[in-house]
Amino acid sequence: MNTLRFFTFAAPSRFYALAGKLVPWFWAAAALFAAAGLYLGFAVAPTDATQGEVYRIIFLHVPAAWMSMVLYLAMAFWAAIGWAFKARTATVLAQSIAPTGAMFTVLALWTGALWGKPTWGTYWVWDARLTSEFILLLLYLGYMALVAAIDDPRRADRAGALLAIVGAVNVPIIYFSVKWWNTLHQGASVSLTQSPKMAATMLNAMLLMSLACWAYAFAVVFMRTRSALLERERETAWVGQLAGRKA
Amino acid sequence: MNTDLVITFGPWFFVGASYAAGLVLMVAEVWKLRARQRRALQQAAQPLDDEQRWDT
Repeated sequence: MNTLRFFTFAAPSRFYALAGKLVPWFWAAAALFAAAGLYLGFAVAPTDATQGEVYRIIFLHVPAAWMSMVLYLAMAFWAAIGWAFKARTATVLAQSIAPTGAMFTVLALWTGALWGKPTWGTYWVWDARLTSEFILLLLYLGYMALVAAIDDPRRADRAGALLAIVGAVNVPIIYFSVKWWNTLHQGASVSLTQSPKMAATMLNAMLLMSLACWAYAFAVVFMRTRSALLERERETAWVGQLAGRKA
Repeated sequence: MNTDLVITFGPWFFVGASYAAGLVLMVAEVWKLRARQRRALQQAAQPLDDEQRWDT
């Protein structure tokens, strides 16, 4: 029964309606988490003993970097589902994740550079973490360019899915790069298996900002999926009915 | 030159430039998406031509 319900929402018309209902809730969650995270990060968390005020960039940098990786994996997953089961909604979802993933990657690189200058003395070095994150941006851009370049949507879906799946190998490389190689970028401050290496207030601010980024990502990805479904299914009866098309 | 930037503006310049970029990118993304949704609904409301009707 639950399986049936899950596949019910794979129908574009049903997913469109469901996403439309969820988007306002994700916006509300994003606003609440961001307000709480920014309050903790800027009004409660103290100045860092060694980095001074500039460390507050991490409340945006770390969530953006996490989102860039998680969204790539989500994109590859839904692209693979769409390819394997010929599920249009899954493919459209994958294609809707890509621009938001690329945006978070740009944000992670930009905020990282602005944090690096006052702390490392340089905006950029070609170390393994920074380079593999930059390659992630190229993968997002390559995926979007490839899908846009092929006129036949089904061929574009397949080619995009292949690139997304192959590119997923870069995500563990980004994550483990600081362990595998000697990098200027420091190791993980937060781990599932070890206690955090930062003060509780700072950690909580970072986690709240991460939740805000998650909620934001859900909201914009669902908004984009809805538009993409309307464009792609334009000739179908449900879109005609929804838009009030005259015969 | 770059070191001067650090000394002149201090850490808040870098913090501000980071969060401002985040805000600009997110607002721009939402702005574009709202416009895209409006456009998609307008196009969907247009009558189908013969070829499109045949496809359905």
